[in-house]
Amino acid sequence: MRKKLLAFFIVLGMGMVIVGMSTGQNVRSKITEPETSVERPIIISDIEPLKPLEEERVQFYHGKHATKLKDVGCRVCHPYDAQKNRFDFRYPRERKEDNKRVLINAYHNSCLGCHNERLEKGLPTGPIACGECHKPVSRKEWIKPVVFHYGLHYQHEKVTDKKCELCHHIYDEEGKKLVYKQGAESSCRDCHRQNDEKKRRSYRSVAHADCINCHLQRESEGKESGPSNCEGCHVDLKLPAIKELTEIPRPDRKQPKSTTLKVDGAGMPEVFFDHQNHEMNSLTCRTCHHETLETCKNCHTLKGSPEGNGISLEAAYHKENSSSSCKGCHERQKAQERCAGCHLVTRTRKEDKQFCAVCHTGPVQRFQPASPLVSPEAIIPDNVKAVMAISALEQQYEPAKFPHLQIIKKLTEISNENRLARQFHRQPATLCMGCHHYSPVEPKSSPPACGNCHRPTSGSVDLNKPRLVAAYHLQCLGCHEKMQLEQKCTACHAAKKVVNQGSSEQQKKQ
Amino acid sequence: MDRRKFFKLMGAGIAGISGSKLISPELVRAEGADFDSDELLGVLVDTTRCIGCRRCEAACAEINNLPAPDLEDKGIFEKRRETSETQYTVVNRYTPKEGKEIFVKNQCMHCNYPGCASACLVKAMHKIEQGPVNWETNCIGCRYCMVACPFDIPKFEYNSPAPKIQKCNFCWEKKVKKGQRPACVEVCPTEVMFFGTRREVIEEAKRRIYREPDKYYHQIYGENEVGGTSWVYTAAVPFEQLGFRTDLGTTPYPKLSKGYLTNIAVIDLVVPALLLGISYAAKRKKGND
Amino acid sequence: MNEKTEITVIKNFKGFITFLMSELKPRGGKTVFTPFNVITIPLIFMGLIIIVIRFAKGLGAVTNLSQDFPWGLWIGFDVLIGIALAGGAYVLCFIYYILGYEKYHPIVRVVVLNGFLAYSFYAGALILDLGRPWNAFNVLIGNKFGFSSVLFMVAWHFFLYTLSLLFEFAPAIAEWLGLKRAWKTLNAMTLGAVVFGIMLSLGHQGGVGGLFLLAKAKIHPLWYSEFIPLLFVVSSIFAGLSMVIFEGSISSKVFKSRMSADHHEAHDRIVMSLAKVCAGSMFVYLFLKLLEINHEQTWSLLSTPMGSWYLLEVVGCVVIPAWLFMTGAKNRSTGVVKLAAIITILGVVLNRLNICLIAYKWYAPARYYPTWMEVVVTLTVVFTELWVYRWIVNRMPVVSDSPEWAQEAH
Repeated sequence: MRKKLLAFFIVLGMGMVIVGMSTGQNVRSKITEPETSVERPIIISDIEPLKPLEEERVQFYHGKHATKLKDVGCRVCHPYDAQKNRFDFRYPRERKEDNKRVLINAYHNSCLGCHNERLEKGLPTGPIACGECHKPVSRKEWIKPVVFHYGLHYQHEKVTDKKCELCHHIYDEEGKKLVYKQGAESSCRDCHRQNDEKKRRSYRSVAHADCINCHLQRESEGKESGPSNCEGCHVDLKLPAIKELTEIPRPDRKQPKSTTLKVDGAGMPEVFFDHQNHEMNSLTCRTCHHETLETCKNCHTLKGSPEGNGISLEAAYHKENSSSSCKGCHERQKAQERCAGCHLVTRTRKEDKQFCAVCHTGPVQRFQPASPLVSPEAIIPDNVKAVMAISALEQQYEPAKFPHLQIIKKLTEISNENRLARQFHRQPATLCMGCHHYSPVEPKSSPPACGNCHRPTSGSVDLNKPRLVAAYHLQCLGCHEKMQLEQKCTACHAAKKVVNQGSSEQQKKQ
Repeated sequence: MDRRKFFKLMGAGIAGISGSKLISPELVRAEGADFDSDELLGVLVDTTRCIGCRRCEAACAEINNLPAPDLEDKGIFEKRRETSETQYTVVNRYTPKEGKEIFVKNQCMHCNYPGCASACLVKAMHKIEQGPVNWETNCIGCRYCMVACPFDIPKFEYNSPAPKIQKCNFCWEKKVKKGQRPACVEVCPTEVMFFGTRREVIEEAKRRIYREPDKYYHQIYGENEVGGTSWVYTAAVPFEQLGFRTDLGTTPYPKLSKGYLTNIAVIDLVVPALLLGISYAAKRKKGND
Repeated sequence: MNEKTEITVIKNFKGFITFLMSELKPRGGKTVFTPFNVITIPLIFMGLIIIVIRFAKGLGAVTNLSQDFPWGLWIGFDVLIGIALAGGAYVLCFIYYILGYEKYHPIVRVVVLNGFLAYSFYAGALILDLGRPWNAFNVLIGNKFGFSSVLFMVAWHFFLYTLSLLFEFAPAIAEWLGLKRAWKTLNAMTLGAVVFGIMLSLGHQGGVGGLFLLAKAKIHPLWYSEFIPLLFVVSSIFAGLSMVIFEGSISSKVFKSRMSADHHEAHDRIVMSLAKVCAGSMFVYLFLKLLEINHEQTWSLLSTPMGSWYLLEVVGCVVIPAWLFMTGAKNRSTGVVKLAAIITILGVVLNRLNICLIAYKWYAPARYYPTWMEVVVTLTVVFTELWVYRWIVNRMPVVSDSPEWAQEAH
């Protein structure tokens, strides 16, 4: 009896070990990106009335549902207005967004109702238990917002024979209905906001309703049409480069070719603004105009106003990290490869009055585009050689051969190629400031030597002034890195052949 | 209770109390707990500037009389290197998922609350008031500091009959004590490292990130890790991609044993009296039976 | 009965040789080449040579210790395993001296002696592992005490505990030497020494585990938690008692000639009682393990390979022997109890090795394995300890009865 008991427990122990080992997979399963559209879920989360969320967000496989229920059609889930021959792509059908519990129940009734129904009929169906839908989300959101750029707009114009009323409308307060008014077309977002409101659907809602319904309609009529599935717009649509849209005519809203920006009480000279040029250099009107096509100063008053979200006029034009402001966009241009070498590496003096004057020209009748810079030899001091020797690191390297004139010529060439650059680099001395960055540059006179401010050795450390060898490396190598140029040490200065001198153990024969 | 028992009780109690005095809570205070960490000396290592020239390794070897590294060996970056008993600092190369390759200099982090110093039972590993964590020769070679360091920095001379623990000493004796900068900081040709008080160093790191937010990953490694370290890092990519452990938490390491040591003090105070009480009760019971 | 209670005085070198030979043939047997001698003596000599090499050339010459694994077999055995298995001393002292269970009287001295020898020898063997042992005094004397170090606390506890074990055993030495007055004083101090000793044991049994609290980033989450010290204390109870059962069964055969009659008779009863205490403490341990897993929320890790290894240690070497102890005690089967003791000892060895070597840096690609030289040195320490143990037991009243003048006090 004792032996049997012993044997039993030994076997039990071994069994547990074997079971443990056989289920021994890697605990953290790999997160895989969805491959096919059927596998891509929409993560149901960003719905204001549902917040704060009580359960895990549900991953909803629209593709799966659309494919499996293809024969029945969108009608299964989305309300269809037979009279207008339109789908309303709201979900669930009875969607009232003012009460959290009501909304939750609406979702549950719709989804689980259908699943249960199919279960009873013995059809393949979806999850029923709470945890089967409310699982921890391990996927990244794959739905990209759609940018309705000029290219798309033009395509739609062509296909609808310029019938603007098909998409654009405004709300007539008196007649209490939607009407089309020519000359008042603007972005949908001008009126339709982030969330559904009492009398106004959310942008997401109406965009899906109008776009998909039209596409479905044309599809059924056998005409060339846009996509009616999620990934058609949200994944497959590639954002074009600005260069690709230069031939596309911009929407005609009777906008001026150029205008003068003048605000009473601003205290700055007026700015001449070439509107057409800027249209050609952006993807949509919304780049600058947000939602509405009104002029900036209407909402962005001098002191800021609620309509302008409190953003003052100055900030609207000059905020550096904004994508809608003038300065912000111009700053981003500086990050291009050809420009980044100077603009992203060196820190220059604070901008002075001359800098403002580039835009604040005062009253001008006609725009004078900046002419290309001529060869800079005119302003270089006479004693500057074409190639200079920088000999600060004498111990280990030969002096660096610095092709000064060649660099100046190259920079001039780059600046002249770009219209925005030409506008700002009106004075040839401006180009010198890329490297001679803190002192003023006067024509025909040498700026201070680098070593005057950047001392060669350690000693007192000034946060803003690295020592000479570091200053050279940070600036030169920084520029080379941004502009994808040679970065090997010996490309600039050859290694020195050192014969054993002194007692230092560090000397090496090269 | 008779006189004899009373004396025994007193004796055991006093033994217990005096024994526990050795490890009473005040003395168990973690190494360096009462200082203003802002005024410690620190170094910012800005990996976005490092070009992998390894002059820092050479300068460190020279000033500490260690074998000079071979700077010509370009294949040295193929495998990740650790510091060793003959090399206090190494530079490694990493290829992140996007962007150019990144070079990272590794050395002792000179933590604010060093695990190694709290582990050392003879205070051979100790934190100097100004910040550097250094090793003294009264070490007994138990190697507990190696177990305790979350960055695996202290290295032991296994092949010596009089082995030392070797690690970066912040050039304290030779440079910093005299008001100069550590050798690696001084020699760097692109000023990767910035030396100052910890407050200046952290502020400079924040300044750089604020000035060029696209250039940096928005975290200063070492600002809060294991209670904060004196050598902090900024980088262009998340630190897991650069060989840093990001699962170390922010609890200072000495705190991990502090709770336990306080319990021991309590045990040493309470247990003798408890045991004598039990013994007394058991004897009385036996007497009654 | 070969009673060697008189003290042999060694007058000259010849006397020394006679002494040695008598040691090599303790039972007056025919040959020097007993299995015990054949195994231990060459090994001890090899060990001594290796020790000399270790001091001449450094630790790297004889061990596989590395920068990744600074603590190896020597620390694992001396500090962790040896100390856990020597835990019988404080448990038995608690049961006998504090709780007053007279029935354990026959084994108390043996266990205390074993404890004393274990601590002395293993602490001594630590000197071999220290890199700079000439500085070891800095731990006990000086003005640079690392109070915040768990190792400091453990070192002092070791030292004081060895002393208190010596005090607890000292009456036996006094009996052997016939020092009646000293015996009286020492006897009176026994309770104090015991109380002190138990207090110290509770501290350092957990302390050796507490050392690893600082290795939070390096030990696998299934083994690391802030409960390590508590688990070590509880496991030291059944580890020590299992060791008592195990070596008691060996001793009662080897030293049969010296054992008193009632010692033999009581032995089985004692073993059964100890088995019950073991089982009880093991169930407490298992409960604490469950608490630990729940507290750390490491349930999901049980299905990994390391999780299986963990289950082997806990289920195979704690659950199963606990059940065996219970059934063995119920059915009065010494065989089952002895088997349980062996599995328990293996389990404790495994647990300690896991914490310091196997689950320590479990992610490192290159593992640490002891060299044969490390194993030899460890065995040298153990065998030397056995020699000393045998010498003492053959002379002093450890398993045999005390002289009559000392007996009235017991």
